Formats: sequence, C-alpha cells, structure tokens
Amino acid sequence: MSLRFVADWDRIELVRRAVCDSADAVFADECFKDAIGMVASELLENAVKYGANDALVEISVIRSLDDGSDVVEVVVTNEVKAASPSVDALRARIAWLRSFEDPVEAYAAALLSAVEDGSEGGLGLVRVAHEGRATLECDVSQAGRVRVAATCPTPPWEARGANAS
Amino acid sequence: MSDAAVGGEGGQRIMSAAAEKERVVERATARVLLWGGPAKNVVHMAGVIREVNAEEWLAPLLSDIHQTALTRGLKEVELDIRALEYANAALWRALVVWIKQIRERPGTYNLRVTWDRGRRWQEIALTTLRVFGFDPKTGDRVLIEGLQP
Repeated sequence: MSLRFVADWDRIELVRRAVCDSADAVFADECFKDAIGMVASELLENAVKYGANDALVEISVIRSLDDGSDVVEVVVTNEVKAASPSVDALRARIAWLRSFEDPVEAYAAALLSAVEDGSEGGLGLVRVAHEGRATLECDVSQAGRVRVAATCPTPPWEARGANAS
Repeated sequence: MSDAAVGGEGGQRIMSAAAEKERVVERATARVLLWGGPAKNVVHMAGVIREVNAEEWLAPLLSDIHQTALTRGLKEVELDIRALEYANAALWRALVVWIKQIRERPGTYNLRVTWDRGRRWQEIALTTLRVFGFDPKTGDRVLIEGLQP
C-alpha cells in the first residue's frame, strides 16, 4: 500500500488502522498486525512532528521477497525545513540504536533517560526497533526530503515477552 | 481485587477507601476510569492514546493516582490496560515516571498491570517496564499479568 497526505496528526490513526487491516489481510497474525501498525504510526508521528508544516507525507508498506528474504518495509518520506536540526537528531538516534546488540537494551536505556533527564525524543524509534523488530535506516535528499525505512521480518515471530520461556 | 488491597486495620479504613468515587477522564480517543473494582483501586484505560502531547494530561493524572494511593494507604493499585487498543510512546514514558515515584516510596503500594493476552504489543512493552519496578530490597514493585479480554 502507498499513501500520500498532508501532514496532519489526526490522520495518523486512520493510516495506522489501514496498515493494521492490510497486514491482517495478508498475514492473519495479531501480533504482527499490531506491530506493523505501531511502526507506521511512530514513523508518521515523527514525520508530522518534525517535518515541514502542511507538507505532504508519504508512506508505503511493501512486502519484499527479494533475495530469499521475506520482510515488510515501511517507508515514510517527508519534507523538512531547511537546516532543521531534526535530521541530525534522527541520524544520531539511529546510530545510537545500532550501538546496542539487542533493541530491548536500547528501549530500557531510552526509558531510563526519559525518567532521569526528562528526555522526550526518540522513544518512538526505539519502539520501532524493539517492538517491531525493525532495522532502521534514513537518508536525506538534496531537495530536503527525509526518508526513513523500517524493515521488519514477517511472521511467525518466535515468542518473546513476559510469558516466553 | 479484595479488601486486602487496602492497608490499615479494621473496617473503618476499608469504608474510607470505598468512599473513593469512580470517575472518568476522557481525552480525545482515550478513556480512563479511576478507582473501579470492589476495593476501588483499579484504573482502567481504554481506547487509543495518540495525541501529540499526551503526556500533558497523562503525567498529572498518574501523579494524582499515585498521591491518592498513598493517602488512602493502598497496598496495591491495579492498572488495567486490556481495553487499550493502541498507545503511542507517551504512555510508556508516563508509566515509567509513575513507577519511579512508586520506587521512591518504599513500603507503600505495588502496581499490578493487567494486559490483554490477545494484544502482544502490551506485553512486550510491559516486560521492559517491569524492570524499573524492581527493588533489590523488597523485590518487584510492579507486577504484570496477562488476562483474557
């Protein structure tokens, strides 16, 4: 699926639901459906929050079976204001995420940071990596468009969480 | 939840606790029912928490719940998020701040979070949150429990 819309916070929930329904139609897996909806929502929240006002935001959700892999790639593209510090912050956050072997450690560190120094930014991306099991990357075009891609493995996912052995 | 959830001795304290009235807080697509259950110690969250600045109302609300629980001498507060369809990162930041407040008050109440076994996203996030509630002296201050919807 691919959608393009004017940056508007209220539309994010509608898109999240659409992504969930699409994932449900293809995979019929509740856990994956919720996860991929969260990935889309968190990436869109960042695009709307840090992107240029009233600019277009694009999202594509595509299953890729190339090279023997089976993944779903969620890509969000948006325009940013010239010289916006948010691009550097985005790059730094993704680099920081990659410094952890396990995303759950990054998640715990981000939560701790939120408590200890009141840091509010970046937890959404950490959720994408941890809860969505996604690999993140970003690039910026010369035209000032930021593209963030989250690549998620398709289900079935092995059990993970409080009741997992 | 039984009356055992309420601290203190004898029925007077329990009657005092029972006097806490249920109330509902609604923000956009989220709904929070405060002080439900037989022991008036259950907080139900439902709907979708998705606003851009959800912490602006969540943080004071959770802080108020914390203060009320201390004032009432509760032994346990139950946070039931089974009917929560989705929440953005604001909820988890607000919850970890609440858990920190609980840990700073040893010997007071514990937090039990009940989640829907059909919503694994709740479990994944809560598993990490529980770590913040561990006190080496007294053990877990945060318990999580997966239940049927």
